[in-house]
Amino acid sequence: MRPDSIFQKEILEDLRNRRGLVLKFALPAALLLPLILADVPLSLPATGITIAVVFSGVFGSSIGLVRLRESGMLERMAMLPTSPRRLIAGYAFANILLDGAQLAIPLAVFLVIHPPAPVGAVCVIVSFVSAVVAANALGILVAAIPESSGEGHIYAIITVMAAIVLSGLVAPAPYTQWFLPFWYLYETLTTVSSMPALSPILAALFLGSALGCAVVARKS
Amino acid sequence: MVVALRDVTKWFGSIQALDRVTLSVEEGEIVGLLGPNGSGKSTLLKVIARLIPPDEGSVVLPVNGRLMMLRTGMLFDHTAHWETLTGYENAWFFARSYGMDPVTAHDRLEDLFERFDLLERWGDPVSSYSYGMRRKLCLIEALAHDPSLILLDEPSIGLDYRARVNLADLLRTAARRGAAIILSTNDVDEAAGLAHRIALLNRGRLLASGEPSALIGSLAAKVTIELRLRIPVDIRSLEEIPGVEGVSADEREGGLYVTVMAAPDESGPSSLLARIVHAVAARGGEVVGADIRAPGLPDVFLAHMEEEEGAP
Repeated sequence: MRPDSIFQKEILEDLRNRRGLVLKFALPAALLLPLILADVPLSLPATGITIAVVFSGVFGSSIGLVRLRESGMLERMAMLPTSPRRLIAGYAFANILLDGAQLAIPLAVFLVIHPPAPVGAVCVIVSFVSAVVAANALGILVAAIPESSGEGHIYAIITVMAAIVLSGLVAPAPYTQWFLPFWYLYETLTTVSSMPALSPILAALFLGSALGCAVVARKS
Repeated sequence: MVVALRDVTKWFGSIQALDRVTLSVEEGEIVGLLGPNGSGKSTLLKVIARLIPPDEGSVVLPVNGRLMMLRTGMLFDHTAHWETLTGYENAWFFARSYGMDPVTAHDRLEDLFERFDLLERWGDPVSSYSYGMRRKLCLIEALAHDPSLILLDEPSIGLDYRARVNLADLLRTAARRGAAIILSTNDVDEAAGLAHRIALLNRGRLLASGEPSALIGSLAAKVTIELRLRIPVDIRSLEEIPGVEGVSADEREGGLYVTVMAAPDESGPSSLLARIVHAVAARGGEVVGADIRAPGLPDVFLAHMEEEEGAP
């Protein structure tokens, strides 16, 4: 494959980095599968999956962008006739796809062990995609602040921690959790077999997140 | 006119990178930006490329926005690439982003990789490339789409001699095609050999600009000719040769050395040397060695630097 676009370039780069790719898939599975397979309350694997979504989305997107800027690659790309909106969208889409793929294995095992009703399955997928999109959008937004990868890591950690806390994943956060799609993913996973009523809300949320990502891409 | 800068000023915090720079570049012209490190050459290129907005002054280009980017090729002072991708894949991405169709892009890249002796390595990941190879790849990416405005920051750094010659050929061809080329360099010889016009920068200020020969002509420097004589002559008689302004002699390393100072003239230092050797022979002397030191761009550069440092 010869990369014609930033999306293809990102995918090709990930495929070429075999060790990184194996780690990307193996690490979430290694961390989450024991939790999913263990005889523990449903809230624990649900929290684990949600945190993994936040972590991989925010870190992957923000550190990748900060490194691109630090190396001078963003400066080179700024000279391209391609619009920044399109470049960021291509970058985000590739990262969303990879994040989704790397977390799909633990999520699939979770759904096998806790089989949902058909509408519940749709809700899980919608809320999962919505959370992955939001985490990546957050990562891209955060990447605008730091001036080095060192700073980038600090900002990413702060953002991940804030997202986890404000989403009510550690303790209930009744004033903020409604605004973050991560809480909806957690809620969907914990009530996976009995929550058809939530599906319209989640669908709306998914659309909202996609819109938010588009706005961020436009501003970037 | 392709590029017109008027009173361009740029500050980075308390440091003034550019100080009211006014410069224009015509179609088919190669302009060399010459100056010491930190003189503002790279900043000026980035201002022209619209990567950095000037604080004051204006940059006028014939087209703007996407069209301007389509027609511009820029070589940065760094060699950033996607390391896990091959050299060809990196260059392919840039060529396609500049709107080249797949067949033209492949043919053009093949030609450029061959010119820069990279064809055998184009399928290798960039992480295995040396610094010089990365610079060549950057040049390929900057030139592949035949841009009409070429901005090159220190283009010959890291290049072997063959690549420098090929680059010079490519740039001259591009200029003949009508491209406007601005290159920044610390290499005075490179600037003198390639550029139609030189712009001397120091501390963000444009000190002088003009054709290399005009800049050299503006210097009051003398041509110095040192002769080694086996059979001496009366050196005072050499002062009668037209153009000669002073003659001195000294004995060292077992030989007699005569130093002749002359004003540069249109016939050039070689012609002056011929006249002097002829005069020495006519007076019964014999020259066994000669060394000419004529003022060049390095002298222009140094003279302006010294003048600038002497200024308040």
